[in-house]
This record gives sequence, C-alpha cells and structure tokens, in this order.
Amino acid sequence: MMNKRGNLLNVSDLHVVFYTYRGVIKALNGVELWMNKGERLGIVGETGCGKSVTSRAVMDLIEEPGKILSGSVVFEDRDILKLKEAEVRKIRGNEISMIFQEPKSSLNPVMNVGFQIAEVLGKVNNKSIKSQYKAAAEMLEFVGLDSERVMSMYPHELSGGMAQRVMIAMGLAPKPKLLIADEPTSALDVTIQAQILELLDDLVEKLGNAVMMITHDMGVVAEFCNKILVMYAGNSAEYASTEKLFKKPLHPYTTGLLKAVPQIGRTDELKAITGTVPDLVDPPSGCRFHKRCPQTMEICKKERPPFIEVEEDHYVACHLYSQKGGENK
Amino acid sequence: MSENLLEIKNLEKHFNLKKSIFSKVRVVRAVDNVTFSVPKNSTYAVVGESGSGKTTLGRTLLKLIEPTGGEVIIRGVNIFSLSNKDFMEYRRRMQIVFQDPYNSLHPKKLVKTIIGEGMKIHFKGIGEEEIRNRIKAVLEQVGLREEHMFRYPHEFSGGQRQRIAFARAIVLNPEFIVLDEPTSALDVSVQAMVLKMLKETKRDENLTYLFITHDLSIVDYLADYVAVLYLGQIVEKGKKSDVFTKPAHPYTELLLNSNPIPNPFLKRDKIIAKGEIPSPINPPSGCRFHTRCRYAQDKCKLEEPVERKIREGHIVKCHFPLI
Repeated sequence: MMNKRGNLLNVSDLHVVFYTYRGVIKALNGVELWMNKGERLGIVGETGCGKSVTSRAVMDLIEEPGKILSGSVVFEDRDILKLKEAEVRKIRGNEISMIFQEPKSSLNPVMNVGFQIAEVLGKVNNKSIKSQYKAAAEMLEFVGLDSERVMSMYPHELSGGMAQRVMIAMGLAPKPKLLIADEPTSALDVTIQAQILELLDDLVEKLGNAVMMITHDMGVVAEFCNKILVMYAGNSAEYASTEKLFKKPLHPYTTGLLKAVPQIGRTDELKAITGTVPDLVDPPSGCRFHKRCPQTMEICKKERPPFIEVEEDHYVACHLYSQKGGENK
Repeated sequence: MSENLLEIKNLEKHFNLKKSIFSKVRVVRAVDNVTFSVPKNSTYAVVGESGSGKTTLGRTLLKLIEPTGGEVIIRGVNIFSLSNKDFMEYRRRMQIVFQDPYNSLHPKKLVKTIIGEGMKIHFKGIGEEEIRNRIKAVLEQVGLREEHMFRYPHEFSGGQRQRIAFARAIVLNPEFIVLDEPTSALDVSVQAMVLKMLKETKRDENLTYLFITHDLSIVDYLADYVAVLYLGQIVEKGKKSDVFTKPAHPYTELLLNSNPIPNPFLKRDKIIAKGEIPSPINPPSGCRFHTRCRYAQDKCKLEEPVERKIREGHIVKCHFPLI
C-alpha cells in the first residue's frame, strides 16, 4: 500500500457504511487523502458526497448505525482506527480538534461559555476546570471577544458569529496539530463569514496548525486553502494544490463543478452537471460518476478508476488518465 | 426606460412586539419606507443579510402579510385598496416560490393536486381534461415528466421539488413571480440547472421576477436591477451593472467584497466589517449602517441620510457616497 504521502495524516482506502432500513449506505468507498503539517486542505463536494463522514472517521467518531469497514487513518505514526478508545481520546480534542457548522447547537445550552472552554482546557491539561478559567479568558480574547462579558454568557445570548468564535476558541484551546472545520461559515451571513475566515486565517497563521476545511463553497476554499480534495459519492475524485485545481481541473466532475458555480463578474452561461447525485444504497457500478459524466467510456461502467498521480502532486481517479482508459480512447 | 409593471411606494411593515401586558409596545420596522419600481420583463434582485427584511418585503408586497403602510401599484391600481374579491385577480397574476422546497409542498398531496389546485380556484369552469393537459405542459416546461404528476413530494430531490413549486406558480399564467431564495437549499450543480430553467421560462413566458437572495454571485448572473436592503431600508438601488461595477454605498461595497470568489488567482484586499448586524428592534440612530461603516463620521450618527441620485436610476442613501 502506498503510505506516508503526507507527514501529518494519511488516510487510505477508507470504507464506511451505514446500516439503515433502506439498506446499506456505502458512504465512503475507499477514500484517500493525506496532509502535511501546517497545511490547509479543503474538502469539497455536494450533499452526500461523504465529506463530513470522512472528517468524523478521521477522529474515529463514526457511531451506530455507521461502521468503519476497512482502511487506515494514520495520524503521524499511529493508526487511529487500531488504537484503543482510551488512546484515541488522548488524540481527539487534543491533537485533533473540531469545529462544527451549527455553532449554537454544538455548545451546551445550560453551561456558560467560560465553563465550556475551561472544561476543554481542564481535560487537555489534566487539571481542574476551575484552575483553567484564566486560560479560557485568554482564549476568548485570542478570538477577538470581550472575555469579561462573554465568559458568563450562555449560548442563547450569543449571535451566530460570536458563537462561532467561541467554537474556534474551544477548538484551538488545546493547540491542536490538526483542526477539522466542518462548514464553519455556512450558517453565517457573508460579512460575518468574511470576519470568521479572516480570524481563522490569522490564528492558524500564528499557531501553525493544519486545517481540514469541509465546505461546499468553492469561493471559501479558493480563499482559504492551499490544497483541495474533491469528493464525489464517497470517493476521492481529485486532489491538487488550489492553484492547479482551479487552473487545470482534470476530473470531469471537478470541471463541471467549477462551471456550475456562479461568480461575480463572470459573464459566461452556467453549465449544470446533468442528472442527480446517486443513491449510495445502490451506487452505480465502476466509476460512480459515469452516469453523469460527459466523457464516459465503456470501461467506466465496469471498473473503478484508481486514484493515481497524473502530474506532480496532482491526483485523479478517472479512466481518462489511467493506462486502461488511454488504450480505450 | 421601459414600462414599469410594479411600483412599490413607501411600503411599510411594522411588527408590534410586546413581552407582557405591562411592558411598552416595541416596534420592529421590518420593512421601513421602501420604494422601488420593477420594470416589465426584468429581474429585480433584492439582496440583504439575515434580518434585513428581504423576505418580509417579498411577502408584504404580495399581501401575504398585511402591510402597515404604503402602496403597490400595478397599471395605475393600488392593489392594497382593492376588495378581497377584486384582489383575487392579482393573486393569480402575482405568484411566489418559497425558499425551502421541503416545507412548501403539501406532503400528502399528489403533484397533480399541488399544481392543479390553483387552476380550479382561478379558472372557474375549467375541465379536468384541460387541467391535466396544462399540468403536463408546465411539468415539461420546468424539466419534469408527465408521469411525475402521480407522485408525492417526498419522492423528489430538492431541485425537483423546487421545479414543482415553480410549476405551481407558472401554471396560473402570472405576470410577476417573487422568488424567495429559491436555490439556497440546493447544491451548486443543481442550482445551476434551476437558475437556467428560471431564466429560460422568464424569457418564454414574458415574466417579471423579484429575486430575493443573499448570494450576490447569483444576482450578477440573473438580475437586471438590484436593491440592497439593510435593516429594513433600501440603502442603494439601480441597474445591476451600475451597482455592481461602481457601488456607491459602503454597505454594498462591503457585501461585494465579502463574497468569496472561487478564483485563487484573483488577489484583492479584503474589507472586514466592524461588528455584527444590529438588531432590527433597536436600529442605530442616524444612518443605520454607521456602526459598521468604515467611512462613518459624526454626521452619520446623528442624521438619517436622504436618498440621492448618483445617475439616472441609481439611488443611494448615504451622506458620503463612494462616487
């Protein structure tokens, strides 16, 4: 197995399923991704492509009725999926932490903000919660909030932007090596989104941690991330630096996605991708994109394309670029 | 300039808030003295952030919410002064598509009932056969098929549901449709298809749209005119090409700048707004935007700005416009 492509995180051949009354949802179908220290990876894709599931699997947080079938999540040199729960807990919320889309529903409604941040710090530093209030206040100042006022506030008193700042304070409090941000600005207004992205940019710059940003917004990744992974129907479709991906997208899905995004100042007609996202209870055979792909070939229906390096640091899972596809063209 | 289909004059919707019977009544000015005209066959976009009153504006001008003041004039008739009976005709002519296609379609009704219901009310004496033909025609027009008539909403994806909601609106031959964030619940690839369909249907049916959204990139794609709303008031309005290339209000400038651009090669200086959107219950004095404006001066705190004309049809409500 090709391992160690990144020096921080290496996810390979990750398979996750969910058992539901409708059948087994094959949510992740051999996802590959890797990250280096201090890197900012954006994972983009549409609803149901598995981007959130991937981020949760990285922290071994897939719960019933879901199950990680196979694959490995190697963080530095430890395979998180093989560790005991107690050992994973030392990594989770400490070396890897997470912020969520709906900041208000992720905070405890009956505890004040100060307690919640102090609790995180207490767990991480293995000290009493009380002793961590000062550090919690510092964290709040760090994310641009007035700690005197906010420490004693309850989540319902916070605006969306403030709540997300509190989440960021909690996420960054343990000084993680990797911060996973799942749609951190999708529920916010654009002017607030700009504030939060600027803040994250600034803090991550200072702390030097890596960020995995899950989003559906191509604009957000273009502005924040330096690497992008495009996911489709539970697969890694394309991986490259932000510049390469926007300049020369290789996968037909990426090309389609970029043409479908409206942009200020763009005059050409939007091009939609035909068809709909497949049902993952019964995913299409071969390449899961073949039914919607404008360049589909015979082989696409039968064989799953491998995720291969086509150009330097530019990976794609598509038969157009694989050896076999080349012969059939 | 082309003929106006709709003239909205000093439209107001104030909600009274009362916490208990002893407390003083507080007023939320959700839509506060809004005036604009929608030219025939155009797409007029209304943009704003949450709490700006854009949804209330869309609903008030259709009288889905009773306005507290102002007029909506169509061909010389103020529709708010009509009796319920006379107003019925305008109900048909003015339709709406709501934001969330998961809540706006009745889950226990067949698509054919959802779309056909309005026709039975508005086209008295229409036969079943004709209703069926008409439904078939609109379904095809919005990119669905005849057999979809006999299905329930839960059998459709978000994009398809929004097409059904749109079919329900156009089946009554309206002139004017309010589209309230019709694509914000959809994925980008689906959004592109729906936007395209909206554009084509508008051209084919000579429709006029009021497009309510928070997404400026969609406005650039679709709209001919734009009004920017902030805490219930229009701060800038005009032709989209004017407003987008040369914004005159600092808020418009901020909105345009905040919108993340899917192009990593385009480097630009970000403007970061001060603070958060104030509550519409207790809006700031003077110019409502002064608390977040980077150009604010003392005058802005004290005096409410009046509307100024920058050029023909381009109006801004600011003491110190950028152009």
